[in-house]
Amino acid sequence: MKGKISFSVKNRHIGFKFDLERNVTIITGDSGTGKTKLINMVRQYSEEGKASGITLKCDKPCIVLDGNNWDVILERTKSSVVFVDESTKFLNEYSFAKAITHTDNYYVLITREPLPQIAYSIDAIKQIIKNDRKPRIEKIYNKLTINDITAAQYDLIIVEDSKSGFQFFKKAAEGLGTQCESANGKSNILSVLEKRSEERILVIADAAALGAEIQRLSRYGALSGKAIDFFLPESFEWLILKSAIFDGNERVRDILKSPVDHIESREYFSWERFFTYLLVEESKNKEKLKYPKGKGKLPSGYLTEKNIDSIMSAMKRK
Amino acid sequence: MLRIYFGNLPDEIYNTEIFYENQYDRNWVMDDFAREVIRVIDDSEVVSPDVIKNDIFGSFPSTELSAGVKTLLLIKNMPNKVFNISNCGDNCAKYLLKLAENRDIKVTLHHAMDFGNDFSVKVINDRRRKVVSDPIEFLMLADHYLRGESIDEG
Repeated sequence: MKGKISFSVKNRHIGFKFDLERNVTIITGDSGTGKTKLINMVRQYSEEGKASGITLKCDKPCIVLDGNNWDVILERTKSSVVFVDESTKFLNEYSFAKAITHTDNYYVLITREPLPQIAYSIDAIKQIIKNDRKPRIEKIYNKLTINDITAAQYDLIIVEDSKSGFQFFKKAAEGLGTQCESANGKSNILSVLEKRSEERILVIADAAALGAEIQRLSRYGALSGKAIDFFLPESFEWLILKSAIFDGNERVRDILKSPVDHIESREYFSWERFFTYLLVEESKNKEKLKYPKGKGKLPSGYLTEKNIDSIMSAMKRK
Repeated sequence: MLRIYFGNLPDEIYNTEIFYENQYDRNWVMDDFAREVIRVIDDSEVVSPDVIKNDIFGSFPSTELSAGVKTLLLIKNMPNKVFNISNCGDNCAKYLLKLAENRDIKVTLHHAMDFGNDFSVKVINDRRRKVVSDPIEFLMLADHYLRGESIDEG
């Protein structure tokens, strides 16, 4: 499934309306905002249709997944929006994460649990804001990332990646006179932050799969007393594709305008993997820029002064 | 004191909504604590046993309260059970601490709840009985115990 999906559900008392812009959406936040109400309305409509007294508008069928036979139901569910409530036991299980990978559905997961086994974007994490009969559903972390990493001087740059992305930012950091360290994976960023004593730190990570970590990282940033900035492009490969290096590539420009219209969720559960595929494809005939599938060694063409500048400033581009 | 176990326990009540529906007492909503959490968290007023009202939904039974409020009422009235407080948002945190002021309450937690900057809880994973009052230490313990294995898509 691909493309943005508009969803609305209402009864006489209350209505919820939001867009699904990715295959996984997380709804979280305070108690008493209406999460359970939302789920119950979807459940009642899926069981009784219009006779429920609920009006639900969505281009795709909507179901609430629960019960002991969830895996059997999921296997039969195609091209649908699947809601799962926070109190559903299987939601934090590895088997559920495995089962939804390579399926043709979008998922709306209502939970406060980080779900580290599921790769989801920080952009997909939303909360319900009370607003009388029309609660609003808003992104939580849409203003977290900075777009210009040269605007401030850092004592340390921590990069989630240990492969090509790290090679790039290590070289770029040399130019800025800043030390650069790999966290060797997104789940290690917090412990590296905690161990290091530097005052001004920049964290670079892929937003596309950082969803499970971001609540703890941003809370640490608020509590620690250190000045911590986050530079969170979709992925390192997305950043390269967005840079001036690919300005003449119409396919890339078209996809970047609206990735959701191009990324088939069954094939690419995380957008991070799609952008790696796209960069590998689009660079295969470019001398010194042929990007390796396994992201092992970054080709030298990306490490020229001009291309470092292009990639570093890509987040600032519209 | 609140005694927190990060992760699953065999005797935890994970889905507090189902448990509430089958075990609640209609008078639970009548005391001052219940009235306050129902007013502050759910923007609703208690009218009489098991009758709540607000401007949006009119009158409704306590089974329609938020999962967070139901969990607080369960902990208050059945303190010997182990409830999953990840059913509670951060706006329930101060009430959880209040319930555990004068007695030990054991709970499970599956996310890094924000208790603010002024709190003391016990983290009881790995048979430790450590009192934690530092929000960063609490955050790091949550991070340590809630780590999971990610799916390889390939």
